[in-house]
Amino acid sequence: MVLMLMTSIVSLAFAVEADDDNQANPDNGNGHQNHPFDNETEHEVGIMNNSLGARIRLLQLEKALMTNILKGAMTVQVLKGLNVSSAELEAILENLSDVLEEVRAADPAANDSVQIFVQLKNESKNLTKQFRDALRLLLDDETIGMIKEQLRNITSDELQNCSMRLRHWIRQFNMNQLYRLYGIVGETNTSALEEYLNGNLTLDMIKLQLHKMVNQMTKEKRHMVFSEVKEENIKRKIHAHTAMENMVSHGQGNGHGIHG
Amino acid sequence: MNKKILSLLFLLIILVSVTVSYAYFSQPAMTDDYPNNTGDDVDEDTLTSEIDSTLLDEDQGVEIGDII
Repeated sequence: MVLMLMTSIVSLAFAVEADDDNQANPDNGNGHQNHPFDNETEHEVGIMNNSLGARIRLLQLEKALMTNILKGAMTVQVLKGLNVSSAELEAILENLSDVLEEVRAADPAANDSVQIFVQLKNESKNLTKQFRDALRLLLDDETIGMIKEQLRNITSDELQNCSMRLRHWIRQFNMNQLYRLYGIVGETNTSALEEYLNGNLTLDMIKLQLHKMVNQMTKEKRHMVFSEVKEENIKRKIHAHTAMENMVSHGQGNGHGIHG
Repeated sequence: MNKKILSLLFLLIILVSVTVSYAYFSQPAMTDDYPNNTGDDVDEDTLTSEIDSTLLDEDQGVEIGDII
C-alpha cells in the first residue's frame, strides 16, 4: 500500500516536472521555438521571399523610422524651449538617422535582405526605447503626455511621399496575389484589378467580390482553392521560419542599439 | 486498522485521480493551424480568411514602438 502511495506521488511529481518543461520550452508540441525574434517579425519576413515583398517591408521600416525621427526632433525642440539638456536625445536621434540611411541603402533583391531587415528593425526598436527611457528621466509624465498628444498626427512631405510609395508597392503586391488567386478560381476580373491599382477600388471592395465568389463555389471547387491557397501560405510560413532559424543558429539579426 | 487501510486506499484513489487528471489537462494541445479538411467540406469563412491572409493591408506597418 505504501509502495503504491509512493508510486502515485512520484507520478505526480513527474507530471508537474513535465508541465514545467512545457512552460519553459514552448517548442514542445506547438512547433514554435523559443528564440529572440518575435512572432510579428517572423510574420513580416514571410513575404520577403521575393524582392517586392522585401521592398515593402524595408519601406514600412523606413516609414516607421521617419515618423519616430520627426517626432523625436520636435520633442528636442520642445526641450530646448524649456531649457532642458537634450544632448543625449540628439545623439540617439543621430543613431536613428544612421539606421534610416542603412534601410534606404538596403537592396531588396539581395540574398541577405531578410537578415538586414531584422537587424535594422531590432536596432530601430532598441534606439526608440532608449530615446523613450531617456526622455522619461528629463520630463514628467504629464508633460510627455502633452507633447505626445500634440505630435500625434504630425507629418511631413517626405513622410507623405514615403506613404505614397508604400501604398503603390502594396497595391502591386496585392495585385500579383489577386491575379494568382483569380487564376486558381478560374475567373479573372481584370477591370476590377486595374481599378484597385489606380486607387478607384479599395482592398475591402476587392475582398468583398472575392467573398461573393467563394459563396457561389461548389464544395469541390472550394476545397481545391483552399488547398492551393493554404499551400502557398504554408510555404510562406516555412520560408519565414527557416530564415529566422538560420539567423538564430548563426547568431545574427540582433540590433545592438548603439550605432557606431 | 481497517479504518487506516480504508483511509489510505481512499487517499490513493484521490492521488491517482488527481495525477491522471493533471497529466491529461497539462498535455500540450495537439491542435494545429490547419482545419481538418481532408476530404471534408471547407467552411466559407475558413477559405475567405485564408484568402485575406494572402493580401497586405495598406495601413499596416512595421512596428518599432512609439518614440515618446
